Amino acid sequence: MVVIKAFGQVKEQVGMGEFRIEEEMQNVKSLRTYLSDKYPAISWSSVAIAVNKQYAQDQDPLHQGDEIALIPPVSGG
Amino acid sequence: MNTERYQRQIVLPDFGAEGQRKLDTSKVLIVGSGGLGVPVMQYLVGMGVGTITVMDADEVSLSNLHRQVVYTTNDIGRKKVEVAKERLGLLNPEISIIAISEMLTSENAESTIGECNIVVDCTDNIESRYILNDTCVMLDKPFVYGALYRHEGHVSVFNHQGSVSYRDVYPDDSVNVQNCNEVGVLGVLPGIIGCYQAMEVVKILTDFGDPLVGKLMVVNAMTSEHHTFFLGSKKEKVEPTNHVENKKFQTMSWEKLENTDLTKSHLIDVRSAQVFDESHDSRFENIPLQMIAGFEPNPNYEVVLVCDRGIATKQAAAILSSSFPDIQVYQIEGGYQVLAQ
Repeated sequence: MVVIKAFGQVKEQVGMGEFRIEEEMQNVKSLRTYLSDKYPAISWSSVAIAVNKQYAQDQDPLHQGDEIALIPPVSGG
Repeated sequence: MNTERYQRQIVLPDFGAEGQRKLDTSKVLIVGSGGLGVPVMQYLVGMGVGTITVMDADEVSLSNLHRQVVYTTNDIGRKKVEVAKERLGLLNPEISIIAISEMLTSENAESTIGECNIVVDCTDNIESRYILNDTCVMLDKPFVYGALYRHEGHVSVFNHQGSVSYRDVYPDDSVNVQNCNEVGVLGVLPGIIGCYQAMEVVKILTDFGDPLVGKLMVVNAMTSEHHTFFLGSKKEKVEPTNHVENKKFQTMSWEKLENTDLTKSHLIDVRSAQVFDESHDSRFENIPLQMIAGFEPNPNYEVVLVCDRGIATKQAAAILSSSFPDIQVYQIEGGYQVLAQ
């Protein structure tokens, strides 16, 4: 289980700011794949992912209870 | 410098006369004079940054005024940068304000950014942000990033003394992102985020406090929550900076190209496919600048880049060197224009 916090436009696209994923995820890449299957309209390759407040790369492992942040690019000024 | 004007900040022991002197001798470029740019310029002008350049091609419109509060209803239709220069000149006539009524483009980025110590990213579109980022990486200038989505604001300091850049966090520059005109924004939010940006500028220029280098702060104005994410250091790339810079800035003349063994070189023309099709040197393959981020060179090869005048190749070289710091990149000096002369 991991806890997800969504920011920017992703928050609206997934329809909630915070949710849990019960499935086991090996690493950030498997999370991206899971999210791409569930929310195919979102361009997941452009969304930055942080694990426990730390910017993460695809190969970084995920652990039970990790807090994930999904931070898409935002552009308003 | 009239110290009475700045007395209330000079009296701060950790800022002091030295901090004020540093502001006075600094040059700041503010790209965008809209929702974020307005508070940034108001405070930096008030606080006494010596030279402030404001860049924006837009005119004041009625729908700007709820958040861009330096402009008045009487200014509608006038160039934003001209109004800003006029009005902020009254706030502080002791500093110099330069107004450039242009958008930031790959043509003017190097000359405008090259003139300043730090850039403030107050743009409202992603294309300008990547041009700004890549030019800052190339010229080794820090930039203070600010951006909004509805009730959320993002702030960071990128590329400061080799720290991560925007492209390191968001490598995909093909993404389509909406701006404030499309999604809406409450008037006060750009004010809050712009003030954070102005504070970061002051921290970097006067070398005090703990700036948001390698960190991204996300502020939710609805819940008053602040989240800070650590973007990582780029220390492994800091040490060989000169090495990387040298590799990045290497140029090659057409004559030298003739006398170079090109068996282990990628020869790349970064102009658009349309221009490439009209005419090109047949030894070069075409990878337009917009696509260069997706190119993966053979690690044992060198890269030779060409464009029209040698400007797009600088950006392409910055992008390639950022992803592949060990690859030797050459740019054909003066591009195809040299051949035409």
